[in-house]
Amino acid sequence: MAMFDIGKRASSSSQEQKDEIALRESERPWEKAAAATGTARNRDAAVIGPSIHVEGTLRGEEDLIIQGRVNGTVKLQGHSLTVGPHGQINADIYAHTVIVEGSVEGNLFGAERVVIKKSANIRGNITSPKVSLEEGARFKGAIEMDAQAVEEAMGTKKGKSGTSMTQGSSTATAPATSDTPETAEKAATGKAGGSAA
Amino acid sequence: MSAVISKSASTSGIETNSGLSAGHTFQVSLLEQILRPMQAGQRLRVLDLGEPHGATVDFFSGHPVRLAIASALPDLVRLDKELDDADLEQCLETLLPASLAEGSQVVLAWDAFNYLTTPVLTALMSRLATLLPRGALMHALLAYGVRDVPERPGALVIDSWQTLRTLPTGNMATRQSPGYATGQLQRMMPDFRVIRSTLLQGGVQEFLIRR
Repeated sequence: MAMFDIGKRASSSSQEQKDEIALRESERPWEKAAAATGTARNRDAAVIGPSIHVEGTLRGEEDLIIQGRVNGTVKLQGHSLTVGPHGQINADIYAHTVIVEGSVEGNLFGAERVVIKKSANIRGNITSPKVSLEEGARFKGAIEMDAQAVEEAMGTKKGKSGTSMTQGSSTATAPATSDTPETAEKAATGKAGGSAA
Repeated sequence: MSAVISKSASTSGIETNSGLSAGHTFQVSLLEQILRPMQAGQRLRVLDLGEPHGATVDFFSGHPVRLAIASALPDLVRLDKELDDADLEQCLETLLPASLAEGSQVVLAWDAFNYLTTPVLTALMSRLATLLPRGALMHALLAYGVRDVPERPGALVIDSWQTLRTLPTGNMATRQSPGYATGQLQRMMPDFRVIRSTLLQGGVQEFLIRR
């Protein structure tokens, strides 16, 4: 499996750096699209353009915007990931904040927040303490918002060692120990009210 | 109670649309009872048969909840009633995969029953019977005193613990409601039991159904 370390840029020559700056300052269509749809745009974020297709594990130590295609796993510990309107992700995503405007098939793990924009099309589970979803977004999956379950999935649960976010498993749907169907039933039937059918 | 029928319809003597139309709110006390464990900080596994809505996600956000959104209702409505039982079963396994729905303690069906034919509704409840634990509860709304319902399932969202609201859809067309009676419903879901129902205004009845 290929490994892309997007955080390392030390090998760039000064000319390459100038070229990169020139490219950043030029008008790029996917940035226009992102601006038009209100993408949370970080000027310092790295960008995977629409013509780029990545297979494998994508790691980084900076914010990232994906407008291309990624198959595999995306791990941005402590940073934000934006799947732009043209982004097509077939991968599990681990990040501090995940913003989705494009298509994702995979599980999303947001340590802080997951934001689903109206143009998003997601098939997978979301694990995050805060999830927001705009009307019009397409989503089929489960949203795990139980703080305890989120901590366990993210590997951030206090008192536990040996796990980290980058080792997080795809167990967003794992039931917590307190799942008891009887609880809801007792609550619903324990009080008289409403007319009998 | 804030669910109201439009004045023009109710004063004409013929109710042509129900409180399920866009922009209405319902006081749904039975829903609050289902969600009471969550208010007490207990974890719940909730299955929403409908499409995702930000207001509902916002409502559950911050609570110990696993909210599974099936986005199944539009496909259920489109299912061909000529499909045989085996085909229906296969469709429902795709629409409601075990990985998504299994173990759910609360099912939000809301206005689904007003849009499903008898074979589809029977198959849906049969599928849910295999996925839900005993004691799981379903919350549903049924049009009972009206002839027509909006053409498409309404975008229902939770506003508060006991308030549902229909979002505007921009579509004023209507269709005939199957108008299932409680007895009919019961026969279509032998693995479930209607344990409580409440008449709401606007020609809508709130149901609590137990696995």
